[in-house]
Amino acid sequence: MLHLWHQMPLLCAVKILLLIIKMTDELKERLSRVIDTGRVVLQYGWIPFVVYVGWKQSTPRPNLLKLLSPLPSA
Amino acid sequence: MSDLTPVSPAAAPASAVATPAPRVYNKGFSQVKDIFNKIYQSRANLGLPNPGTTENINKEVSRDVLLTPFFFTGLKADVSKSFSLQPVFQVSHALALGSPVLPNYAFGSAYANENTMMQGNIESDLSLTGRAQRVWNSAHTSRAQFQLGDSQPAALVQLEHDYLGPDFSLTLRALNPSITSGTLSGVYTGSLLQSVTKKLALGIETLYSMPASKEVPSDVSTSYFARYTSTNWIASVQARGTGQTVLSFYKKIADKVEAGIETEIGPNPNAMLLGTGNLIDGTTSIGAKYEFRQSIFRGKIDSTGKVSCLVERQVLPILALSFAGEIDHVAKTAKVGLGLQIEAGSEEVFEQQMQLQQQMANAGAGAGTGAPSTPSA
Repeated sequence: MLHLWHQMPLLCAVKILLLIIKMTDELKERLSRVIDTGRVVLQYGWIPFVVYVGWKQSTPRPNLLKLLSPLPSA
Repeated sequence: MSDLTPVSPAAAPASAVATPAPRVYNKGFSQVKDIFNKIYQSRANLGLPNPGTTENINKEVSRDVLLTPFFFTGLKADVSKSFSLQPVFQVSHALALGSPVLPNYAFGSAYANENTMMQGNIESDLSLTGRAQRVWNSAHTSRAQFQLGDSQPAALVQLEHDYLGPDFSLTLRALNPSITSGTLSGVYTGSLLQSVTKKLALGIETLYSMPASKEVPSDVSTSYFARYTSTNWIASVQARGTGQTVLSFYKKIADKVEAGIETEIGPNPNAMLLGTGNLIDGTTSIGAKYEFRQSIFRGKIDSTGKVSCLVERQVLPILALSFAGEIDHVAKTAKVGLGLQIEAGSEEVFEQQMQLQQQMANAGAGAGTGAPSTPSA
């Protein structure tokens, strides 16, 4: 079980989480607004993000027209 | 593990008499550690294999031999374009017509390197399905899955962590974890599958759901699993916390022929709510999968009177056709699906793929076939 102590950051994160649970109403409202915004960003930003990472890492980098058109690229 | 242990007094050199003796943290602790190491050693000596996760307990039957996850109706066409193979980068367009579940248009992209995988699919109504996975090392894998959109009844976010030990697998899962309601809410699952002998694995899964509102009570349910893996067959039993019992049996009949039976017995929700039908209901499905050189055939018959089949045929290296059909002999209805898959990658990628396939074929011939643990390979 010794190796569990390597995951101290995880335990700290849980501790912080438990502290946040006992938070004020204002903080709660702000947090839920942040989560809502994050959700919208994730919904519309995830696909562009994956496409960008893939484009950046592939060699040769395909051009945008090739990348997005469904037609076979010659 | 041994590199973390404090220096034991026996290992200290003789010249250390003048200097203060190495610190012994706690005698009791070292004794406990000795016992733990002994247990660990004797467990390692048993040579038990990793049993896989509880989620995959009957994957050979329910996700490979039976055609249910692959079945579709109506017309569909998928165009996928690969731009790179190392790392994998692929973009896909999916069109569908006349299907109650498939969207008219969906755009997908996938990226994967050795330890990170990201994948997303956005449908014509702008709802998103995404997955991300990170392999930390050979034992630890973290996963995230999300479904976000206006058409979905609720956003779905699932975080998962797998720990694959030498002879067990531990999975922790959180579905829609949230703290904004004032308490921790969401559905939390912990599951453990442990190899008991080289062939038998036993597992337990506990699900704890904490609703956001105080009116709805929280719920706990526990499921039990057993899986027996023999040389060419696999049997598994699941006793689910909801009252369902799932029995499944998989057999590799020949090199390219696999068969499976799955029986599900459980309380019928209709009988409880509406008072119709038997109180306990069950269905059995028998399926087979044939792998030919250019095509894959799957057939299924179930106890509700449905006969279905799915044929996938690779017509050209870049073009595959699929046909799905189902006849319900009790309701006297039929469903048909026709699909087209085009791989429109660039030529360099195609060449790379051919090389990779050649390598894999060579490796497969070297490793030999017949191991039921990796039938999909």
